[in-house]
Amino acid sequence: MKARRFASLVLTASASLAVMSAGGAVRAEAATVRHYAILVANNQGGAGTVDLRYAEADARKLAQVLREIGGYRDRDIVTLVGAGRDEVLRALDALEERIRGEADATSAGSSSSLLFYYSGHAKQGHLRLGSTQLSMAEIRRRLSTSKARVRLGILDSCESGAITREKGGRRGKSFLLDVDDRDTAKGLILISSSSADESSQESDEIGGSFFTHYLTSGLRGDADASGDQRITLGEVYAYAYHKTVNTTASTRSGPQHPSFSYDLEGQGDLVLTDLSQGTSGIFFPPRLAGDYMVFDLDRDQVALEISKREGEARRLALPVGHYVVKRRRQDHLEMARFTISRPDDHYEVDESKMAKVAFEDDYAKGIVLRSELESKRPRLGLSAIAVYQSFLSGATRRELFAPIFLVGVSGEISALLGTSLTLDFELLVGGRRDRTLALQSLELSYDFFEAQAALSITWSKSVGPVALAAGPRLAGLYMRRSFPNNEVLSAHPQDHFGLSPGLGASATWFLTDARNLSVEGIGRLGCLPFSVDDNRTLFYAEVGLAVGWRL
Amino acid sequence: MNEGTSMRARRSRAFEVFVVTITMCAAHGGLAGCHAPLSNDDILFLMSLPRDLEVDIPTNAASTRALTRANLYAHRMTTHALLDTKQSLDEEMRPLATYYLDAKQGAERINQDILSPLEVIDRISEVEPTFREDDQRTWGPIPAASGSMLLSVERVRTATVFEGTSTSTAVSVDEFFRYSIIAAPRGAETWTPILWGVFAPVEAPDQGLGVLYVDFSAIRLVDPDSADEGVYITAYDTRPQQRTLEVLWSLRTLADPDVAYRYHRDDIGGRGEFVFVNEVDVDQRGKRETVTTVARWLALGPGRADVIISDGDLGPFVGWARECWDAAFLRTYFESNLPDTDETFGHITDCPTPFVDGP
Repeated sequence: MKARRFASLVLTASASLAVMSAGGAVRAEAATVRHYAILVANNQGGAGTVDLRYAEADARKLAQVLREIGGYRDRDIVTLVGAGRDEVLRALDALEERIRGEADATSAGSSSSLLFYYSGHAKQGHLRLGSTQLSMAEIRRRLSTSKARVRLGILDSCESGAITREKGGRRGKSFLLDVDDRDTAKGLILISSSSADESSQESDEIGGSFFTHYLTSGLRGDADASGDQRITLGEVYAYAYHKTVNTTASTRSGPQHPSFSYDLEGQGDLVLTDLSQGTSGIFFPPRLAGDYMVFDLDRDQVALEISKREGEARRLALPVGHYVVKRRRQDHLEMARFTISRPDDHYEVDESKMAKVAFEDDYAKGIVLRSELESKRPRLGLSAIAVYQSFLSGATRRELFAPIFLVGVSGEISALLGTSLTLDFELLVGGRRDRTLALQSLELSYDFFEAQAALSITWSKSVGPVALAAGPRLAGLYMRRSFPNNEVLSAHPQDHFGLSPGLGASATWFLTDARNLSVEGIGRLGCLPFSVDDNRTLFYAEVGLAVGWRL
Repeated sequence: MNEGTSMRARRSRAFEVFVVTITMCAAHGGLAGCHAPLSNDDILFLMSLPRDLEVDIPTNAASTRALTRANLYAHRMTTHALLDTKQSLDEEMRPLATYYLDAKQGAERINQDILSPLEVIDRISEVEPTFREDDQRTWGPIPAASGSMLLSVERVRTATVFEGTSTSTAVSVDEFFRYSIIAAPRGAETWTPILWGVFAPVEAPDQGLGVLYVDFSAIRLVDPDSADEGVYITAYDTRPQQRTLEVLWSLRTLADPDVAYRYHRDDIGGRGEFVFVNEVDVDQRGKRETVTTVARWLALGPGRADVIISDGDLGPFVGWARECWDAAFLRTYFESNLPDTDETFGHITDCPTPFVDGP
């Protein structure tokens, strides 16, 4: 068996594919090999970092793939989400103890493999596990000294950004390049999601980090360059490398280059997943060509992507569940829902059965995009409103329109035409009794009533749980003034109807994750052209609260 | 009037207003007569119209009882059976204050006379103006018994000095209101003024100086059933501290009025004065004598009346009579030089203190 060493080697995807495909796959012993995995994820990286959104989801996603088509048993997968340094080390110790126990029990030594996966923040050579840190050197040391025959370390560590988040913070050398004691590392493969001086990124659109997304997509079958239904480390690395670099090339943070280092004895490549054993999945017949995406409705995430070439049949593994397969066309999407109900079930994509869907009606965009889509789906809302209205001029308040409280209801249609615009209709009534009209030196007691019907269009922007909105408003005001206690004027109730343009702004706090229940603070300015007795424009302000429910 | 009757009256009145309003709306093709804009000027115009130009002589339960008794006397129903209290019998021991009752009854008759034109103004202005301009409001034409009436109020923005009544403090105002009602018999095209006047608000939109002319003869053009005749002129001051009403009423010319009276009320002290001058053939000898009555009273009712009769068949003789009364409107003092009158009763010192001296 010829040992091959690539110390401090960072291969391009094509190079790695060429090298790693040179020999046959080494998973011939799959039936007897025990696979252990410890998957660590932490969205939080402590002081100086911004919480990630998908690190923990990425770990679960990979665990699902390993369990389903990687030959890993449930009890051999340890998933640590949000765990600190000590908990991770204890888990590693426990797993290593099991591996050693197995090795001691067999005369040939260990036939097991150990996968360590980390998704989260990293800084200055340390994994950032919440408020604790774990040095990468320590991870490397433990993998190096593990009794497992094959040790695979995958680190997807980056810092977060706004829409496409960066993971990992220190722009320095990748730890893979810092390996200086590689002589002791036998059968060790280390993969990082970015190279030395790059950041890794996660994406709202795919609901995860680019690297893990493509890693799992590849493992599910899209990386099967040889078409043998077995996804090797070389294949999936090459696939993930290409996809990650290409996709991140246009992001704000720039291209992200995964890198790896390995010291693996033996011939051939390492098979990571095997689709040939009748697993459930999706089948793309040879006639199809193009980029497809499969969205997992149950887990609310992108399950896989595939760049399908015409003439080759592709089968990708998917667990039992509900999915949407979609293909992006220039001006629309083609989408089809399907269900995989049994472990050996396969769904065959048939373009003739895919529905044509407008971009704005895409109902499977990923976690965040789904929520964004939700916010862009026309929604009906109903609110109860109370506002306090006061005209700005003191003379107007004394002689014409007293300050009053108005109460009423509001109906809205949000995400008008798929935009951030909301159409809002309000009906308000209010009034006050026994007000005093100061007309010159005459003081008259009067009752005041107002009804208001208003239509407004607001543009809104969400900032966390708060939606800020502003826009023009047109109100029809009906005002009535009566003098029931005045002998002369009791027969002369007065009324006024006028159209009142204005501007409104609001801040809405959504009290539920589904953004159904909300409390809204309202502020408005309106003007009322008033030509009775004199031509003038009266200005008024309204402030209030609304409690709303969106359907 | 009991409460139930009052409620029915109000409902009836409301219904009348409703009917008139609907009529106005229909007559003017829709909203013009129905829609009342939220106008403070409208209030000023309405406040400028004359109202409450009544002589208000104090009354209370005792006064009412006394007047009832006076009516009974007038109907020669003097039986005490109708007066069911011992107090009434006791009061019978003292005569009623004759001249107070004369003043009260005279005031009521005058009020009745002025009430009619003021009611016309109220009725017309209860509906909304049919015509509005910055400085003018017009109501009508309103159907009348035998014709139509039109009420118009104009605001005149001119600095003017108003003198008001003979005792009013003259004031300078920047604007005043001019109002009039014109009428046309059914089928006629000529409009005749039946009422007109001016009002200058001083202290408040409804407090100031005014003059009202009423031509009762012209009213008969549109209301043949009207029994009144002549011309009625009122100068009024509605300021609370100078509330005064001065009236001349003549069947012939205003230079020779048949009736003149002056009413003044001090709102602060509640004191009032009513001067009533008319020409009556008192001695039934053919010529009309001039009868001048000056009645004064305190807020609670006690007062004094001085009557002077002169001219006519009396020649140089000037007759006089003085009477004082208490809060029950029973005579406390009476003295006269007129023949065939009551005997002297009490003493001048029995008059209310402020009125011991003559007017």
